Amino acid sequence: MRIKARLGALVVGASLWAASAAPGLAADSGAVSAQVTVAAPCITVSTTAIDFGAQSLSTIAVKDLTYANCGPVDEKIYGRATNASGNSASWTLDPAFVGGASCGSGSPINKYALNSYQNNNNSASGFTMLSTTDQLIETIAGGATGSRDRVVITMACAGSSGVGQTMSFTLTFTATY
Amino acid sequence: MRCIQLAVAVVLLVALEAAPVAASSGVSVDLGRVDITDALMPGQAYSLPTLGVRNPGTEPTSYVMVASAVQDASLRHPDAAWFVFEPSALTLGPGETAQVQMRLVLPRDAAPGAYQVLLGAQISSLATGASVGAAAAARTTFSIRPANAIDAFAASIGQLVSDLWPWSAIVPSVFALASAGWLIRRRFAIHLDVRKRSAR
Repeated sequence: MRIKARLGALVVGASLWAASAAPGLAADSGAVSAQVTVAAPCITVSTTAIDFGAQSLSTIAVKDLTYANCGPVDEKIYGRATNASGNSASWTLDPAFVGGASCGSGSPINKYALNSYQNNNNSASGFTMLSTTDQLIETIAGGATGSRDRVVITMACAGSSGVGQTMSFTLTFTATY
Repeated sequence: MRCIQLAVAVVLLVALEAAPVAASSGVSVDLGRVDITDALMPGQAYSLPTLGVRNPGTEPTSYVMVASAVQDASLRHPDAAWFVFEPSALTLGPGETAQVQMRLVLPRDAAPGAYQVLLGAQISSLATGASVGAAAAARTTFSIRPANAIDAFAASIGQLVSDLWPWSAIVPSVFALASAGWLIRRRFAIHLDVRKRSAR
């Protein structure tokens, strides 16, 4: 009898604990200690769409694209892009892909590359082969325009799918500290 | 002759003043870095600092909130699905600002280690072809500590309570009340006597 009563009290206690603890567990686990840098990364771009026009496979095309730091202090610019897709075709963005005149028999198909490029700068600091992960392009001063002013697309090699289709992809420049 | 030159100069100045300003699209956020110093636990949810998003451009612009991985071999990439933004998309006029609530919801199987992610707003474009999505983001770092058996069990219970809310509170409460009633009836004798009041 006494054991039963104690067991009952235990059950009641556990139930009350569960009920009282529920709101805390259902909500967030509590405040998080964090060091916050209050600053304002800011970016403007010259356009939100690029028209490369109709391009053949195994070619390279270039378009103007600039970005600027609209904040007052230095900031880092990261770049990334997506795979390209059409109605019934998809190309994988591959920063190591070499197309254009190098395309030939045995070349990989359904791959393409994007390059954020500084005109007239052929050094390693003048371009970044983009991937699907953000990578640092450059640091630009407050109010300044970025040094990269071109986007180069390396089309997929002949034999790839997508002929006659509009291939869509997004190129993103991210400003942060 | 001098009058003509002056008139031409005035016309040119007026034309320059009236020239349309080049439209620009952009985005700004009010946090540069968020370094979470507490070690976080798998299976738990955390509120992150509120992020202010501003349209510094000259045109109304639509944005989507994004969590994107940063290329850094020394740090892990969190899954974008771990981050919840409220709202997750917004449209702002030139100069307008909006506040976005951010939460980090860690799955129970989140791997321990140090993580880095860019949390921010990105210009959204519905255009087909090549679209350019400028983004401004707060670089965010955090670490997840290994969960021991007790922590993992507590986190699992917490997650279960959260998933089943409000029934996870109602059912135990009803059970507790019923158990309390049963205990009281077993331990105490309660007599309720109702009698008619005698007439004076």
